[in-house]
Amino acid sequence: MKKKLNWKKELVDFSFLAPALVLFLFVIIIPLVQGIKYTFTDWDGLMPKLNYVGLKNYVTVFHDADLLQPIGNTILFTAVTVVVINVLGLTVAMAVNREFKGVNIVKSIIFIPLVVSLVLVSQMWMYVYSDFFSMLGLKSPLIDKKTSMLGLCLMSIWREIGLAMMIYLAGLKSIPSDINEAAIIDGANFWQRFRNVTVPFLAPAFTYCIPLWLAAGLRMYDYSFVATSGGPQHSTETMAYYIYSYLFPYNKVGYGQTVAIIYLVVCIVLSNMVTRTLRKREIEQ
Amino acid sequence: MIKTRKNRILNIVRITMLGLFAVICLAPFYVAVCYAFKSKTDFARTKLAPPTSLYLGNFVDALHVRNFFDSVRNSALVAVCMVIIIVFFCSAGAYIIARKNNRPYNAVFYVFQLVILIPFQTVMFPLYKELSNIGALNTLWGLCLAQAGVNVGYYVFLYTGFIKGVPISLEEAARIDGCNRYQTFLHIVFPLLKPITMTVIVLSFLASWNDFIISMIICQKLERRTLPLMQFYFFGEYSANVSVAFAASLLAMMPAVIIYFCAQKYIVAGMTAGAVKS
Repeated sequence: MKKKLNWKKELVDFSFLAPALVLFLFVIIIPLVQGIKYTFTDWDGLMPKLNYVGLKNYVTVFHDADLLQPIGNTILFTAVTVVVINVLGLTVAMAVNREFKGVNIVKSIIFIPLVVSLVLVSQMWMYVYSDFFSMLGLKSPLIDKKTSMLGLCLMSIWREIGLAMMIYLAGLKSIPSDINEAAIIDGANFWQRFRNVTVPFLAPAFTYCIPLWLAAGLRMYDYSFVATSGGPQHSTETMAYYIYSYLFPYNKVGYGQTVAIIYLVVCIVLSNMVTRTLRKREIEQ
Repeated sequence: MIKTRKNRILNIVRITMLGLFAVICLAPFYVAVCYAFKSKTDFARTKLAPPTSLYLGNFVDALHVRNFFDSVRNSALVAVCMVIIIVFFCSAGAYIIARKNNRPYNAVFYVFQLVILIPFQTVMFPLYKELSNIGALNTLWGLCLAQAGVNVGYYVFLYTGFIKGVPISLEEAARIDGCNRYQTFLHIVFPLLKPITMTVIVLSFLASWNDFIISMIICQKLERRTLPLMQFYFFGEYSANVSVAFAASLLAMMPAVIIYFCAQKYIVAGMTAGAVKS
């Protein structure tokens, strides 16, 4: 008796989800399915008819030597930003965890860059690099292909360090103070307390932060577009930028979309792997 | 005694380092502010030296550029509409996901979460074609729908986490008193969500206000450009007059900064949700 579905009630319930779901289908799912369809064509994005070429694009991707540089650039950007943002963010969070006069002002200042648009961030830093660095007798990192990617890393680190600080600070505040006091009485030094008290309590924060900046790094596009246009000599072309170039300026939608779909799978698998590993460690501790 | 003196010195070192770090964090803003307040000749002569007089001409020039106010209006309209869509769609969706907590609804929830990982480039071109087919390209409503759709997953996720912590007993009481599900949601649940709704309003407003990549695909046309796009083209066209471009950018940044100072606690609450063991 109870098992029987009450259709009217179910319909009312579903109506709560329907608007969000329809919007989501329209903006994400339908384009995603369309995008998968394009990977089997050599479409230029303009022709009215699609010309199916089978798996040709997928074969091309695995022979595309041009892809190596954007892959390398993306790995470099992601690795540097994930490590620096998390390490520096945690360090700053520990430094502001003990109250002092003006601590809130310091926190606010470190957090502000996050509310500035990426366009303005890129432009401010372009002038910091060209005008301020030249005052110090330094070259702008953006004009040398060896350092250009690191130049963009610094922009991203500057913008997002405040967020990492806030997240780790929330984690630090959740540590009961008596545990730390007990450790001090037992004679634990700073590093022992850090390893055995702070880090285990911060496990959820790590599980949150590391995948967050991993995903952000893998998707990085705006800085390359605004600050360097992928240059000099493709040295700041990321995967997202490479895909964009094929979709719009080069008009090779079929191929660009193929790279995009493969990259999507890589991103999801990688993020899930990292999250799962971090969760497992969280439980072990 | 030695210990406390050592601690005091360490403390001073820590605060000094933090102060220095804060100054470094502010330094790039100095470049923008310094250039924005310098006349063209001053800028060429003194570059980064502190401005000796406050020259406001750049701000006046920025306001007189033909599409500055268009961009402000476009950005504001899109952001406000997107916030309204996000708040109502996401709170209702998250509410039912949290309360049903059965397989189909959890599956939808999982897909919503997965979308946070999708690089926008994957859906960018088909979305562009889709919007162009229905005549939504270069329209503000098209941009608003696209931004809301890209963000809907994340805010459903934020809302769901919060609603799972809201006790169900109040709703049951309302149901017994004869409220239907819509009334229960509107009169009982939605008011209880105020803290997370504030967070969602602030975060989604900032996301829309600062969005560059979605606007770039959808609203290229001069009179439909939003502020970040205007800033982007400004620096291209005004490369000989950086001061005006920085003045315009600073003006565009002001609403975001004001909101940040007024609503800091909501921003932090939203962004750190889920990072602490409950």
